[in-house]
Amino acid sequence: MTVVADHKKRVILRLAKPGDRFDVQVCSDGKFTLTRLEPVNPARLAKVRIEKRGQFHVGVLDHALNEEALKAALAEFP
Amino acid sequence: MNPMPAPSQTHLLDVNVLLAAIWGNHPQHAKAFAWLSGKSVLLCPLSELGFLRISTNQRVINAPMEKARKLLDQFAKDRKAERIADDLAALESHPEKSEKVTDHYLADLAAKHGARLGTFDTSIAHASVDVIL
Repeated sequence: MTVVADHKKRVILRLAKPGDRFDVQVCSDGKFTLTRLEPVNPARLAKVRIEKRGQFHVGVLDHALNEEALKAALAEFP
Repeated sequence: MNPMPAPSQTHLLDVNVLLAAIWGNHPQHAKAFAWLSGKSVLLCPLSELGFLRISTNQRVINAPMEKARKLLDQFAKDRKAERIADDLAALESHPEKSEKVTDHYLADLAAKHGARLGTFDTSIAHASVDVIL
């Protein structure tokens, strides 16, 4: 396939998805090699509020607990 | 004549009870909280590590490590929990199945310390287990 750089030196890769990352190798013979990299998934840390219930402290998360994931993690432990 | 009150029982907590008791959004939080009332609590490294590992697991709770540690420490203080060592040799526990190795070990460890294992897991066949229903 042929792609043409625009006035800002950008080319469009029709098969790439927004956010895809590539390693770019520029070879001495003028070839460019693009290698798609593993997606980076920066899972956001949960926000935790520590509350007192009676005389006991509990942690309260900013998201609902995923019961299936919890079961799976318990089954895998340790 | 009033019956003699049952002696208070000491319980080693399974990882699933620790998670439910400490995380207020846990679906079994209320149950764990009520069950713990008036109970003497033991903690051991295995169950504490399980709590930390699952609480900070990206796919499950994804809590910051610092918060998970703080909550565990606060839980131990609030409940006046006694910390015991995992001082039972692995081969002194005799699980029958792969998936029961840790559960059985915790139940045996509890028994060794004159306690019972408190758990939500209904599948542990052991005389020293109390299942929270």
